[in-house]
Amino acid sequence: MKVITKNAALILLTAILIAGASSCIMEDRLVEFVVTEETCAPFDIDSPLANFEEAAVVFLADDLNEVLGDNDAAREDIVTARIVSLSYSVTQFSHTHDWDITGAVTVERQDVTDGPDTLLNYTDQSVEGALGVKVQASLNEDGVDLINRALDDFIAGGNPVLIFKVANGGVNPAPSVSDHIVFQWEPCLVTHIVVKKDIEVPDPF
Amino acid sequence: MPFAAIVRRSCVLLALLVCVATPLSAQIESQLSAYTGANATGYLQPLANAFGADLNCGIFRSASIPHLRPSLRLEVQVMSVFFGDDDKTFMAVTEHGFSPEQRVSAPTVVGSEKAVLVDGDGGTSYAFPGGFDLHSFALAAPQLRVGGLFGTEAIFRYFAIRVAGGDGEENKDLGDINFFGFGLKHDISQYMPPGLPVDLSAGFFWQRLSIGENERGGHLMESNAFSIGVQASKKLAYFFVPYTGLSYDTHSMSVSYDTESDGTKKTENIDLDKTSTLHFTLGLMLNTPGMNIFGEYNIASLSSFSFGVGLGF
Repeated sequence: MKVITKNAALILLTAILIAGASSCIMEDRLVEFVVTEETCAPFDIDSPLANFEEAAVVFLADDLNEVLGDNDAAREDIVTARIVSLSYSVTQFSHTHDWDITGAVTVERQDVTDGPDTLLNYTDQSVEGALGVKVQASLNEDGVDLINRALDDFIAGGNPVLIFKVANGGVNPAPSVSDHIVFQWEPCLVTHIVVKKDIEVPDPF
Repeated sequence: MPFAAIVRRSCVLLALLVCVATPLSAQIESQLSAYTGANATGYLQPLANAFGADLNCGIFRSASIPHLRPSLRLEVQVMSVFFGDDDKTFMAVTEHGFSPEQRVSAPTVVGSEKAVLVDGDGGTSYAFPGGFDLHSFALAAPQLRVGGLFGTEAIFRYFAIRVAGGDGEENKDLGDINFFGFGLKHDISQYMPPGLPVDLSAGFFWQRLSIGENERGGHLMESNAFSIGVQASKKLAYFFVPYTGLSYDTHSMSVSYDTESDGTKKTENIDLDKTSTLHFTLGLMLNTPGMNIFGEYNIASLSSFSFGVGLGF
């Protein structure tokens, strides 16, 4: 009889522990995660002139939908999305001599009328010096605001498309028909997307 | 309830019996992916401290060990800590070339669920991820005691389970658990003059716990704990056994997770601060033949409590 009583007590205690575990150990939390997205716009430059222009189209909505999908989140989960920084790097350069370039990168919307606004200015930037190096850019508020508006439109259900343009104004030494300036470079925008997720976490006591 | 949901709940419950932290590990990896280096360390440190405090409690209990009588006892116990306000935030620093660099108070893994945003140059903003708003952190562990040979008892903790590989993404997220611990406890009363009012023992215990899986198949978290100390207990009437102990504990934890925070995918390996602490235990055990129940409070750099039940002889 004593053995039965003891075993019954043990089973009861275990049952209480398990019942308690299943009902109150896991708690719901609405946690704000940060998803980091890097959007790059590659430019192929091949020009005999110092004042060359080049454009790259970025389908922002597609990029954002892809990164949200990778993180098991949807557009409706976004709390906010904002530009963090921009860097650029030269991805291909094989001249026998370096070039210093001066100009600006502008941004405008393709899907609606907005911009162009200057995103960044670069002055006497060595092309060879930026080869394989992420150069942090000092950003212009007008260009950043335009992209932040595009991010807000995306959150509201829009499908923003951005056009980045390089407007180069000076090259030293000056290029010529016999000495084209040829290189590839890539400005990359870092965006933080704050998404909220309803998850279960263990918090038993 | 759909079958998949029943399976998932069963898996969660099974995991809870050994380690309630496991479902958290996959979510932590998501949050960590926004961080590198010192930020990741600061974000995770309260959880690492909690792991150490939990693992190093509920080990020794009664100092009475049979000298030449076989004993075998299987125990299940829950070890837990409560988090204080100091554990909820850390000083984080902006990353990703954000200008100007700023240091702000951001949530740790156990802190507020809300992200923290700071403004920078030219209309830019930086976001620090939220925490999981945890008040406590508990582990559960099966423990086997085998004795008594010349007043010595061996203690084992072991569990291994893989909860990954299910059809559902959430099942996959649970990851795996590998838990092993071994220690010895020896009766030192036998070397003392007769007439001691209490039983005395000394012992050590080492444990390794790995949880979760990163995208490269390695462990997300690995934790090592070691405790060495002395215990005293006294058997009173009605099977009551109050006990106390003083030990020196160490704990280390490493985290290996995947991140694309700087635009390129890489594995970030973080060694969290190793902790060492003196640890004082006060507990009470109801020790009947065949079964015992115990509860104890542990005072250390992070105080903890433990309770459980054992079955054996």
